[in-house]
Amino acid sequence: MNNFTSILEGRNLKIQIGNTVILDVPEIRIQAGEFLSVIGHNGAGKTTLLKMLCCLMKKPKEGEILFKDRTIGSECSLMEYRRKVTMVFQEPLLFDTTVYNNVASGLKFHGIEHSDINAIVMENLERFGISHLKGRSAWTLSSGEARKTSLARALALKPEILFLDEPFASLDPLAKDILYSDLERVLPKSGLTVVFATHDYGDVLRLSHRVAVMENGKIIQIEDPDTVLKHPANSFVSSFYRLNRT
Amino acid sequence: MDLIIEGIVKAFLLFFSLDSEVIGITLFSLKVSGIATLISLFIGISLGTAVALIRFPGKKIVVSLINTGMGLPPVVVGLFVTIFLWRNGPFGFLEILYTPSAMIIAQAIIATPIVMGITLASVQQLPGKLRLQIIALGATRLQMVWTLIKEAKLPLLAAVMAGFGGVISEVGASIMVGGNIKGYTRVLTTATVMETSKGNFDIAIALSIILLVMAFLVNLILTFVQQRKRPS
Amino acid sequence: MKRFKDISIVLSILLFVSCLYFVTSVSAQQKHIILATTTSTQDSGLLDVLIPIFEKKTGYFVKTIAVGSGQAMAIGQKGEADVLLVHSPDAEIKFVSQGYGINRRLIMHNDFIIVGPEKDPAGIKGIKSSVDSFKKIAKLNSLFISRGDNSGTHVKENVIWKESGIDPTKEKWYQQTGLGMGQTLNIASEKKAYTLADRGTYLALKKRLALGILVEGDSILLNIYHVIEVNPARWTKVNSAGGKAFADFMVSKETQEIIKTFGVDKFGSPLFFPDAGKKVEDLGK
Repeated sequence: MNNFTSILEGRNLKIQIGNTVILDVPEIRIQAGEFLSVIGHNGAGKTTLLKMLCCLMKKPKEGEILFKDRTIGSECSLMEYRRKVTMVFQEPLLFDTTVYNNVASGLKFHGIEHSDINAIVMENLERFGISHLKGRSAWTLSSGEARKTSLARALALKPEILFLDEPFASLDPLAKDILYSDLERVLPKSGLTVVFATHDYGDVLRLSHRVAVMENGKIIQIEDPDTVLKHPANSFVSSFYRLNRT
Repeated sequence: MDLIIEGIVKAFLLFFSLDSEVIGITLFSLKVSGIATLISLFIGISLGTAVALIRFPGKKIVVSLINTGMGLPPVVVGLFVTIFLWRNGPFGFLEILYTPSAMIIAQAIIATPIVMGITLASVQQLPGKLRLQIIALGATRLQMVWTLIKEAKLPLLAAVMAGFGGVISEVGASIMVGGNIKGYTRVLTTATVMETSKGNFDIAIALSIILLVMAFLVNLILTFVQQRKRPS
Repeated sequence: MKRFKDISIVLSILLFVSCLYFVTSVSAQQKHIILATTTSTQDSGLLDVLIPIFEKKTGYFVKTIAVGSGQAMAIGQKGEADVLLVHSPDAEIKFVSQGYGINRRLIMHNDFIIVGPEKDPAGIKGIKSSVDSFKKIAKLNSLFISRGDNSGTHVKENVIWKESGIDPTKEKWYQQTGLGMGQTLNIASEKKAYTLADRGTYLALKKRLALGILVEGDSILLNIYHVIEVNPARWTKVNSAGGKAFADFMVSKETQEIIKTFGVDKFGSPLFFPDAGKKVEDLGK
């Protein structure tokens, strides 16, 4: 994996509220085209790391984030970066409108020509097999359908990096399985970089190139899944791993 | 009791005989309160959204002030608007005291905190992450704010209703800054007060009934809009 | 860039609002006068007859602010009105002597009456002197409703109380409404109380009231209306030409004729007696 070039790099990312360290990541490099899973218990700092990397939070005073070796905020404008990446949250967070308009919403934000939007929306609805739902109000969808819509909305933007923050949490196993298969089918074709936060180690394994294990705001191990499996950095990783296997 | 029946009969007679003065007063009331509500929507929604979204020191105080403002007594507004609009007051050069403009200003001041308060509450009620999601989809700040307002549209309709209902039924400020001038600044509420003091209770009741029916119709229309858009 | 957009939104809103101000204030630029007057002239319906004639004749637009005489003079004192039509002679003389008003001219009179429930618990019916009847009301602690709003009527009532040597303001049987004549009459009727009223408003409202005229004709009860132009030397913004036009209109022969017959068709007797050109001392004789 070392021959990947780094698409995103975080340096000195530190957030502290009082004496509590929320996030402390001296360095993280994300390779272009890789699928990086971030695992850890709830509250380990996964979401904070993702929000930080997606530049949805105030930047820490000292740290910096580089997109393709350009510092975001100076060499690369925040808006330019935000339009090259996107994030899907734990909740589908759909807008109060039709499925079609939801998928089109990001494209409208980006200022895509009206005439081009239709084809992109339909393509992405088909990718997830939800074309038949396009006229439905987003608030009437099942949770599985809603998450598919949410993913289609994100992928319609053709991001270079996709951040997924536990997008399948609180789904029943069957729905989760379908969504993983959908992702598996969709992702390799697009060749995009994915950062996937989860506390559900087992399922994400089959998609990941590398796994970052987080605890108390720190990344305590970042390696390919097999290595993490065979040589856990500490007892925490192994316990975490065992816990999720049983 | 006879008086009320008499009043209801009179209301029908006045309205359906298209009594030009009563129709005029009714349309004028709608116009003044309608424009005032529109202005309050402009200001109330933008400021309410801003206060909801921006973090700043003293925000809690500002929110309490807005909530207090929701119950702003119309006569207090009337008094201050009168003082400000006096010929020799700070805005005297406008020469708009005892004009419909003055009434619109006073009513807009009454309605704005109502709209602002409801906007504030409804934007704050949206899931916190929704804002991040909109930004993550590449929205500019303006697009983000607009999307949030659209997401809060159902409670915002309540703001329209509350604002309009508040000002159309308000009398204290209208009589103070408008002066209840016949054919010029006379609205349903001030006409009702005057007819009552003249002892023309039947006309007063008739005007009240028109006021009630109008408030009901406006709410009915808005409720229909709201029902239609609500996802089933 | 984002700041710029935010600011531009705020600016466009301000622009919209100020456009509205402009549009509406243009319409207000047309020549108008503010007439501050007592509720009795409006509630009796006299102004509804006179003002359209005046407007048609002169092209002025009259903004009638119907309040009590006291408030009308307070508005005039601030230069917020152009002309006053009021009925509180002592206060008027003071108003003019202090330089707030000019050209005080007699317009008309009617009279005050003491009204009360038909049962007349204080037994004042037929008493000639209003001072004596007030004394009797006080003696028997009969409920008395006062305007309490510094209006011409209220001032007149105070004069009578003063003459009778009674200070009723702290008494339980004495209640102040702070409202106009019509409202006060309604309240007196509901509460079966005595009150002092101008004849015009009383006659206009009579059909709804359970009150009868108990004392009338006393010279102290004379109710005299004057028109006063607000002194433009004191307040530059006063529309003195308009104020004078209205005052001139009120004393004109045509207007005086209308006043003379106003109310006859409806109440069987006139509500006001035109007095332009007469002397106050000769009234009621």
